[in-house]
Amino acid sequence: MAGVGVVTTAILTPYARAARRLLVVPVVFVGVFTVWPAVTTLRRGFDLAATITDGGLRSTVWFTAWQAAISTVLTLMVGIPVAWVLTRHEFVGRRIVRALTLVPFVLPTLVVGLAFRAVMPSGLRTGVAPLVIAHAFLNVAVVVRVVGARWESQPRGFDDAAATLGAGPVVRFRTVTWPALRASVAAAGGLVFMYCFSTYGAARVLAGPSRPVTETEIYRFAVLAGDMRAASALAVAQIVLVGIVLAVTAPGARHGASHDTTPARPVALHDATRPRRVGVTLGAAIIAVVFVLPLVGLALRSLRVGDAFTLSAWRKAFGSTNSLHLVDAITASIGIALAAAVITVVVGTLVAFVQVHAASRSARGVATACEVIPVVVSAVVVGLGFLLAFRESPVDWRGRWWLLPVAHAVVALPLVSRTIAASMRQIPHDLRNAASTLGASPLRVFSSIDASLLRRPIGAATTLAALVSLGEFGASSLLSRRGDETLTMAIGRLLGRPGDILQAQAFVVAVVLAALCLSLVAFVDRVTTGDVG
Amino acid sequence: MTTPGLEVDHVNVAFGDTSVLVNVSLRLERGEIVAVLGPSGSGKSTLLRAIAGLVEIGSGTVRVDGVDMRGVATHRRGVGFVFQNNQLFPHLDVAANVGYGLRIARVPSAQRNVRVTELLSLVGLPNHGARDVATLSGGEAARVALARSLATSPRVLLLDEPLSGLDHDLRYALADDLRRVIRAAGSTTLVVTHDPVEAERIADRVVRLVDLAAELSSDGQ
Repeated sequence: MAGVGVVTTAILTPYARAARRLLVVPVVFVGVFTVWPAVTTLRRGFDLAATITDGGLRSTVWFTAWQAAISTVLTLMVGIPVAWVLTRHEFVGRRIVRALTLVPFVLPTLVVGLAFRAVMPSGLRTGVAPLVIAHAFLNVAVVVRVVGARWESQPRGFDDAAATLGAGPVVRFRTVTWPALRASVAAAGGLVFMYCFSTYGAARVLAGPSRPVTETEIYRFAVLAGDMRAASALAVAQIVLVGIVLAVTAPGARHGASHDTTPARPVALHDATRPRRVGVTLGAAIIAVVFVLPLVGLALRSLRVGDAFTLSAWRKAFGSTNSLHLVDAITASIGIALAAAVITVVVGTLVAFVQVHAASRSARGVATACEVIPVVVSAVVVGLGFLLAFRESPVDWRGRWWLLPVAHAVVALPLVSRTIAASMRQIPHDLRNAASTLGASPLRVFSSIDASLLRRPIGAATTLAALVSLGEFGASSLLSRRGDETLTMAIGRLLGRPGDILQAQAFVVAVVLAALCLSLVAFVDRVTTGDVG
Repeated sequence: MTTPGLEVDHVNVAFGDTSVLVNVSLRLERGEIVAVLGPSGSGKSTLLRAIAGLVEIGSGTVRVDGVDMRGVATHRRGVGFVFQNNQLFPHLDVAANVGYGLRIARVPSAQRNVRVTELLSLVGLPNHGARDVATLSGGEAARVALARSLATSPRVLLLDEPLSGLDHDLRYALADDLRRVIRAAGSTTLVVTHDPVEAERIADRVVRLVDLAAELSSDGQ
């Protein structure tokens, strides 16, 4: 825990005081919209005896855990070589290939699931294999980011030193590189396991009816079967298990970079040895193809109705038919995403502010709890909790329009507050001191120093929140109601109905949603010229 | 004429379009300690890295004990290297750092321990084996790095600004130690530095990098 932003001087007392007061906002938000719904769910589902004896529920949880374990192993096996290619070498097109690996992470998991359904051979469209492969595809970006960052900061000098001491490439990896990467690999693995364990969107379209995961079963019990008790019991299991996974894997995530101050330069490819040059070039080409292919498949699938290639699904989607109001869905999705982004960024900034500036440990701890609790409570459980908690006066909020953006804000909050806190910590404290010695009041210090330095990270965090909202499917599918259907809800509804044209329309909506997400990222990337994702 | 311990013959190194070493030649007798002087950015480190095989040579030859090193990977050259910033492995303690090369060479652990102990006392750090390398002072880290590169008794020892991180007084005291230790080990040694005083104290012979190239171009004609 490096303390760049830790309050040490008297000048920051106003910040610390403000932090204490501002804490009330995130506490109320997370309390009302996460803790209370979760507790309501827990109370209804806290019937462990039933969960343990019910073979169906138990096998669902078991399957969810082992598919997540296999997905994690596969993701690491693919992700570590990809990280090596992309972070240890400099070559033409590196940035583009690297951006491509982020694409699936930026896209809604539902859309990625559909893309896989579109490109997999017909025997493999649903089941464990496509689900696991899709998970790897979705999460390679996590490994590239987490392990890649560590790898990039690993000075090449260690490798060179080992070589002069007689270590060949394999021995160097085992004795020098691997010990340095181990903690980051564990951290990435923990994150990936978490994502795969609470998979929903991809699982809805890929796992198939005979292989349900916990989240899809919660949805099925709550919405299709109307069995709230079973849904709640699974939700309890989900909360407990995610909590355990988080507790086990979180310490690894704190491992920082190397102590060494010399930055590592990637190897320029034309200076590398021939086998390495061939390997990296080939690897980069494969990565590019693999990451583009599903998107192409998705687009092509939207043009296929039955066995014919046609634009009819697109024409029908933009016309006014009873099955789909695409323009309305786009409008609803964008409106909800905007509202969710505003809520998330306000609450997330406050959480970050308290974490960074509060003087008391307990205040910082409470702020961290506000960040962690929404991680433990998965999106589907948030939706279920909203259903169960907000249905009686004085909080009979059933069908309120703002419930959906609030649910999305809960889902996006951890990501957003973490992004903002990381940037807040990097602001050197003496900048603020300098401003105050030049006569700036505490408020002025905040507006002239913090606010302007945080403009870009907050912009990035807003995009992140909007992206999460656009692609959010877990909470949405429990809170859906007639009237203002979002894009993900439309996909879910269309997929559940028979008929070639409706199926093709689901892919049309997925293409539109993917385009929306990608253009949002591209737009913000241009505006901030920063590294978003 | 005996076979030289190290021979650098018309070596050229370029990074992209930038030539870093042009026709550099240098000859060290076995066991000789030579210092190469040059300002920073003059290609001193590149010369050492080229000898160790960490940088690819455009043209020219490097011979160690008369053997052409072309196509020989760094880890098979038997060349010891003390890096700038030492590059001690942060996940290993002092003894494991010093014993690293011996472990790679599959030296049995009993023998290894003896050798590590011997080297640590040679560099003046007896009983420091269990220390975390992050806790070492600059001078101690430099000594450990030296011990590590000497452990496998390399035919050629290369030192890249070995004392650059240290303050003035410590530096010259350590320079004398360095010479004593290298002499005792008997390796053919090439040290590069920008400090003429340091060079004089460590080496038998001091040359300037610019002269290595100049001599050559006139030789070559």
